Amino acid sequence: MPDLFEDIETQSQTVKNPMGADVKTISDRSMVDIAEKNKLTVRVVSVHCLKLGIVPLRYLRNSPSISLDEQIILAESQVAVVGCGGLGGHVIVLLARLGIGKLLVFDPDTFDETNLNRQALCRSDTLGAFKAEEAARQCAMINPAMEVRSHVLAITYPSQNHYFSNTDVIVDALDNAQDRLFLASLARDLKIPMVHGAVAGFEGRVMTIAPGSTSIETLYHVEKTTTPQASAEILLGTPALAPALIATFQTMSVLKILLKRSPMADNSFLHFDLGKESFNTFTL
Amino acid sequence: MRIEVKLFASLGRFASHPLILPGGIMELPSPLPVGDLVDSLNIPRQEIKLIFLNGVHAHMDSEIRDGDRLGIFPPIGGG
Repeated sequence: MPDLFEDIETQSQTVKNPMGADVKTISDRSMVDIAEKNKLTVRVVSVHCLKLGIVPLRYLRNSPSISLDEQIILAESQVAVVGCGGLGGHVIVLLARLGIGKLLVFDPDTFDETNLNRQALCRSDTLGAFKAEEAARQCAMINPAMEVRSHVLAITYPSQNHYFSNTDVIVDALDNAQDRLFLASLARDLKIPMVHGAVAGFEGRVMTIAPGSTSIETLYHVEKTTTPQASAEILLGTPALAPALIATFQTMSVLKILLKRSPMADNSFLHFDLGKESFNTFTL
Repeated sequence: MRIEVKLFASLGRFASHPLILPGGIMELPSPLPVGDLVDSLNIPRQEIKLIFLNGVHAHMDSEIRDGDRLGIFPPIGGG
C-alpha cells in the first residue's frame, strides 16, 4: 500500500479549478498505469485517489454539485440496470459519467435497425451485438473506473435473485408490463429500491419504488380474466426524446437514493408530456 | 359546473370531442361518476388503465365534482 499511495501522490498534478482554487488531480492514464502496476482495478485506484483528496480529472466538473465525499460513495455503489434499450442505454451512459463504481446490466437481445431511432448504445456499427455486452464495451470507453458485469439474459425467474446481491438500486428500463411486474417483485423480495421509467410517444413517467412497496402493481396489474390492453407505446411509437428525458430523471433518482439527498417519495409518479411542455405529479 | 380533463398518451386522440373546450375544460350540469363521463366522450373503457382526480388515484365509480381535475391514462410500458 505505501507504494500505491506514493504512486498516486507522484502522478497527481495540481490544477486550478473553475473557481480559481488549487486542486490535486489525477488523469485516467495515470490511474490505469497505477492499477496495472499494483494489480488493482482502476475503480479501486480511483477510490484511493478520492480518499487522499486527489480528484480524478474526469470528476473535476462534477464538483461541487457532487462533493468529494459523495463521489466516493458513488464509486463504492452498485447499480443494476435491467434492459439496455431506449431507457437503459441512456441511463447506463449517464451512470458511467457520474462515476458509479459497479454496474450490472441485463438484456437478452441484440441491436436491430428499429432500435436506431432512440437507443443510445445502438449505432450502425453495433447492429447485431448483444445489448448487454455492448453496454460493457461502451462503458469501458467512457469510464475505465467503472466495473461492469453484463448478463445476456432476461430477469424472469426467482432463482435469478443472486445476480443482485450487494446492489444498492435497481433501474427498471424494461419495455413491457409482465417483465416490469416480475422485476418489481424481485426488488421487493430483496428489499432493494427500484427506479421505474416508461415512455409512449412524446410522454413518459418516472417513479421511485421504496423497498417493500407494491405501488407498481397499480400501474401494471391486470386481472387474468380480462383481455390484454394495447399499451400506448404500441399506438404512438417511441421517438428518441421521451426516452432520453425519462432516463435522465431515472438517473437523477438513482443519484438521490445513493446520496440520501431526499426521502423516497413512494406512491407517486411524475408524468411528462414533451408535446404540451408540461409535467404533473400523480399519487397512487 | 366546470372541470378540467386531461387525456394522456394514446387517449389524446379523444380530446377533440366537441364536449371538451380549449384547455381541456368541460361544462357539466351536475356531479357524475368518472365512468359516465368516459362513456359520453366515447372512450373505450378497456383502453383506460389509471384514473386520477386532483392528482389522486380514483376509479370509474368515483364522483367528479365542480372544479375537479380529471386525468386519464392508458397503459404505458415502452422503454
